Amino acid sequence: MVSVEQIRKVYVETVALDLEKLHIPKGESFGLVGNNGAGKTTMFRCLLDLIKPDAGKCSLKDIDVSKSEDWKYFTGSYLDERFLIDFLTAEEYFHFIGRLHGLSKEEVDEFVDQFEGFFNDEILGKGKYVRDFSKGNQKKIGIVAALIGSPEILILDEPFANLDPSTQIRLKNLLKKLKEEREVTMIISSHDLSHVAEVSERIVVLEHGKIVHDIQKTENTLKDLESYFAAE
Amino acid sequence: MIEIVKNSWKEFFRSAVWQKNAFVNFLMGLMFLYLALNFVFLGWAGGYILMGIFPGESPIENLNYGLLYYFLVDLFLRFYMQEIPVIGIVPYLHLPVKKKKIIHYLLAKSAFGVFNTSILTLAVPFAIAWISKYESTSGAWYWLFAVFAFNLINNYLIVYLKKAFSEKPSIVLGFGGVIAALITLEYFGFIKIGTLSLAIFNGVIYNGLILLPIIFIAIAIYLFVYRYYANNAYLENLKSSKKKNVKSTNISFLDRFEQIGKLIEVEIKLILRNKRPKSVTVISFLFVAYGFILYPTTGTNAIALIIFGLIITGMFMLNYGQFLISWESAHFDGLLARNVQLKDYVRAKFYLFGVAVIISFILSLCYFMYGARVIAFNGAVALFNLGVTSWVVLFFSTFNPKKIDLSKSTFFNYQGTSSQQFLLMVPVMGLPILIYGLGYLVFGLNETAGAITLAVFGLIGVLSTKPLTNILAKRLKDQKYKIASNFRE
Repeated sequence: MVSVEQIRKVYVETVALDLEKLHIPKGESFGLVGNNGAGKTTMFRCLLDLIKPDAGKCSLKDIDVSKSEDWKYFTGSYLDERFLIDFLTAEEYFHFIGRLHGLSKEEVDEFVDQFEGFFNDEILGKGKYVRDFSKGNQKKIGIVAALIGSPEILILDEPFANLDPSTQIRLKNLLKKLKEEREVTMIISSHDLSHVAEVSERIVVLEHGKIVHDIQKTENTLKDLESYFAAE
Repeated sequence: MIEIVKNSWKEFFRSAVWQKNAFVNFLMGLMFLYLALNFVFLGWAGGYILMGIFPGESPIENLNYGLLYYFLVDLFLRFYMQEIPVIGIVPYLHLPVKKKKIIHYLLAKSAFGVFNTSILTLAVPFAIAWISKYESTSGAWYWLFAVFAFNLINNYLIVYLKKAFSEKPSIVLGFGGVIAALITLEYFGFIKIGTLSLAIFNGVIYNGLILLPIIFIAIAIYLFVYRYYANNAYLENLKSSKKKNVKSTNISFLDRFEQIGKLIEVEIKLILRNKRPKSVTVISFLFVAYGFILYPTTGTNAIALIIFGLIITGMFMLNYGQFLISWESAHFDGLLARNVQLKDYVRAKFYLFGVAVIISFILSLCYFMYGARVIAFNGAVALFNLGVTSWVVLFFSTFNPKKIDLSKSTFFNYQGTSSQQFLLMVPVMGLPILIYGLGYLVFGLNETAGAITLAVFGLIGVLSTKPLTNILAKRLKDQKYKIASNFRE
């Protein structure tokens, strides 16, 4: 479903990303962990064709992302607030994204309404521009917008950061549900080992742009990860 | 305290404006120098100009007669153009620095703003060339002090008023109305503000004691503003963003154009809801009225008509278009990762330009009073703008655009400026004149033929929308990584 081959990205002498081969099969929930500067965001940006790798290619469902734009129809993503259009209201932003997927206003409204619980009454009908929401609420908007258009692949960078505890739990449930009901392939990064261990079946640890661990989740995964990061 | 001063020097020299190549800095330096020299010259020549307008009268007295009005208008303009740098003090509020000091510093800094320094480049040469020459050196000094004191009074009044009335723009407009009314009343001789002005500014040349009450008022206003800020220097008061309840809107007319319509709708909202693009747009459409000044004064030879046509029908395209992609710098990543086809993106921009040109042209139809020739030329240039200039602007916008903060004022704001903006002017000004000249020469020095050639080129450009869109989409595809990384800086 998602494959990365020989990807390399160098920024002025520092290697940001240097991956041999990574394949993520359909329906897998894939967690990415690593310290700051490990290359998580760089990898996400390569996957979404936001930066051009110095070598190698990324494919989503066998489409080379730098060659064609067709992957955008089945890929939902939220990396940071640069994905939001901050002078629109939350509703207008959802309608805009929906429009890009050929959905009418009513269809989008209906879709977004099912996230009422996730929004915790803080997003819809507030009469505020996106820029006036708090960081956590902006993140909620970004995550739900990424789900519009029923994506087969979902890419989220640090989705748990800045969220309040209740929303973190709701998000975990939401992601689990997406996996069970629709077999969405999910790629999620996090600094919080427990969150990522909980929602992922497979966890990859990046360090200085390279994969240093690639493990299927077991009961001991969280402990292993903690001891790995403590040792450094 | 010294540390804070140091920091604001760093803030100034490290601001994005200077982080460009040396050539652009050099060009901008040259531009400022040119402006400053113009001011100095105007100050020096001001007396001759006044003597030309009011022959046989004292230029000094005439100037002083109008000075008070000048300061009233100045106060009005400052509402829109003067920035109050309050937000700069936020990082110091929690540190062990006395709040008093920070506020005094903040207020002192505002005295060195562009407004206050530029008036001195006018006033000093005038004082030297006229007052000290024909009256007395001490008189020139008194006069300069008085002018500067009034300048500071305005400066601090605005620092207060802008903060106090930022929520009520109607009051500012009301103030503008009052000034207009005063000028009208003076014109019809009901009041004599000019006489008061004369008494103050001419009086001070002969009697330095008049300075005392002026300085007293300036100090009183300073202290008042100081107290106001000292009592309001809290985070919540410093934030100028007013939280209004906004409505979600939908321009349903655009719905029928599918994705392109939605992209245009978002761009229109971008313009309406953000300070800088909004004022750029308003100013651009004000230029449509520029013809009322241009046509009667400069005449209507063909080359002039082409340049005026360019300004009148193409100002939005040039003014807004020079930062075309930069306007979206805050959400460019989002556009790239979403299901936006680059071709649609290009086409949406092209349509936006097209609508602006057509609206400007329709508005400019009122210039038929200067003859049908004016309309014919405007029409030819409008078509040329639509079909050629628009593509030139679109093409240039893909060259290394820089990040722009939409919420900043547009006056004296050079964020986003690079050599691209200067280069753009060459083809934009040159091409229509070149192509007009081509038609004019080939068809036997015929003006009509020149104008028709312009229109035909424009028409070809409009008809070639499809291939040109493809070329630009290709160009954007190659450049998008660089553009996106510029915007992430």
